[in-house]
Amino acid sequence: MTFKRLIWLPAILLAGFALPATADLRVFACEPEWGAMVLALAPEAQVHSATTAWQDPHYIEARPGLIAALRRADLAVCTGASLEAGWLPALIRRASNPAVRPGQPGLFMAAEQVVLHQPHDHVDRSMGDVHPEGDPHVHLAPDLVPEVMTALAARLQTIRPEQPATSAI
Amino acid sequence: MPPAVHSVELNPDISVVLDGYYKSGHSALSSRDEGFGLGHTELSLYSPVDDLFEARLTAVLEEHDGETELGLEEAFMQTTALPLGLNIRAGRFLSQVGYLNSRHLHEDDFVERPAAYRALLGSHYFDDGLRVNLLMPTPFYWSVGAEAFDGGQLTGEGDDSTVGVWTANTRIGGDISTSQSWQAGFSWLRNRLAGHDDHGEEHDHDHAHAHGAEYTGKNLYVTDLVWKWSPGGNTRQRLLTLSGEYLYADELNDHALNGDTHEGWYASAVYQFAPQWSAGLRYGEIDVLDAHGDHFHGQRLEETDVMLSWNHSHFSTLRLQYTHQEGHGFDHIDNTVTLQYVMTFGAHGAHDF
Repeated sequence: MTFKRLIWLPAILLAGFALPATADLRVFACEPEWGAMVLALAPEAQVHSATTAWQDPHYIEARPGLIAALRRADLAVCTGASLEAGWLPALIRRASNPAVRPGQPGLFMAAEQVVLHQPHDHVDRSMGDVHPEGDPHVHLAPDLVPEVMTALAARLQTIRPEQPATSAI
Repeated sequence: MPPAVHSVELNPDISVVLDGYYKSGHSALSSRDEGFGLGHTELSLYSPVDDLFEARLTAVLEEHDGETELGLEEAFMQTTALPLGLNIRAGRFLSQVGYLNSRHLHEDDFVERPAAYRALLGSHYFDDGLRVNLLMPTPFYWSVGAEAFDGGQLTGEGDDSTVGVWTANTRIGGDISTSQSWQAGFSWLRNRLAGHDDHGEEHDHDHAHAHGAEYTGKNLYVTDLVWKWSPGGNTRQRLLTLSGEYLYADELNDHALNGDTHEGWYASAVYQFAPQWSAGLRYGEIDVLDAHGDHFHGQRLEETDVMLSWNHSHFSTLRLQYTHQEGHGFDHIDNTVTLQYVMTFGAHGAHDF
């Protein structure tokens, strides 16, 4: 098998398994990395990314446009570990969408799927902006990304059981 | 190894806001006296109650004429998991009329609310009641809501009627691009108690600090518009906020004729030009009528505020503000300089748009 064919193999596999069932799946991604991961698993999902790669996800306004997007989402995929603490709680409160409340399958926090690097036993404000749960940059940790992706695939199956999303891994 | 700090997660979020200032003189329609003083000292507790309800309690300590008053500004429960975008809140809470009213005072960009709010809403109107909000499943933001209140907090008097104040509110908004977003709202407040209290001179003193609005009408209409611009959506780096509201009240009391109305508006521009620095300019006017038995005395106030603030972190703000007032009919119309700090410790809730 040539190298070129190998590159296309995952895409062909994905195309083969992507059923129309995901076309009506609305996903709210807090960061574009998670939006890309959702699209890799469920290519026909409608993904709305709340931020761009050029924005600092610590400092996002709970804008009306984001509230409207979360209101209509079946699944929200975010980093967690307090990265979005400045805006996601306000969005969830304002969006009045019971599907994406904490504790529901519709709210997927990447940081909760793995054991984070550098957790802190003690944190106070004088230390600056330190996340007590650990380093929230999960999407940059090569050892953690596959774990998150496996968990996300399982979550997609919980939400849309008819879609064999794990086939992409 | 799970982090040890997770043990506090079952406790409610506790936040304390300290607000202190030095003001160079008296000014019209102001709750802040000359010299050193404290603004709203706020203690707020918030927690999810269970999987269906959340609740908030906000107590405010205020100093007036040498006496410290403890006020309950918020004590409400709210549903979190109703279907169809429905949301119900009950208890004591800030009314959602207008853009600023539902926000806590310490979130403001200026030392005091615009004159229109101080005159027509008692700076910020909260009361005991019930709210039902519906968020539409539209691609843009569209909410519709109604509130029913006791009304006692707005008129500063108890009343036997079951519902003294009704409000209806709708708000739309969205993003124009990654850099720009907007929101527009329209609110109507029906005050059945307005005009019962004719603001007699003696009466005014009894209720001087009862938080009631000094100028009321049976109908109060509020239109608000907000536009924000931030290059690339990086609000931490640079953020320009333009906002304005127009307030109009009619049917002031039984003696009022068709042309007897209260009116007020403001326009504000705040530019956060660096992560820790903001500068702002606000201009506002009010034209109100003071009831004297069967006739009215016209009063007018024009107010210009210029402010510079330094926000070292999310939790600390130092603000310098110059306020210029002109007008007639009010006491203490003057120019003042205020130096203010706002310090927050404990949990710090996310701010709304």
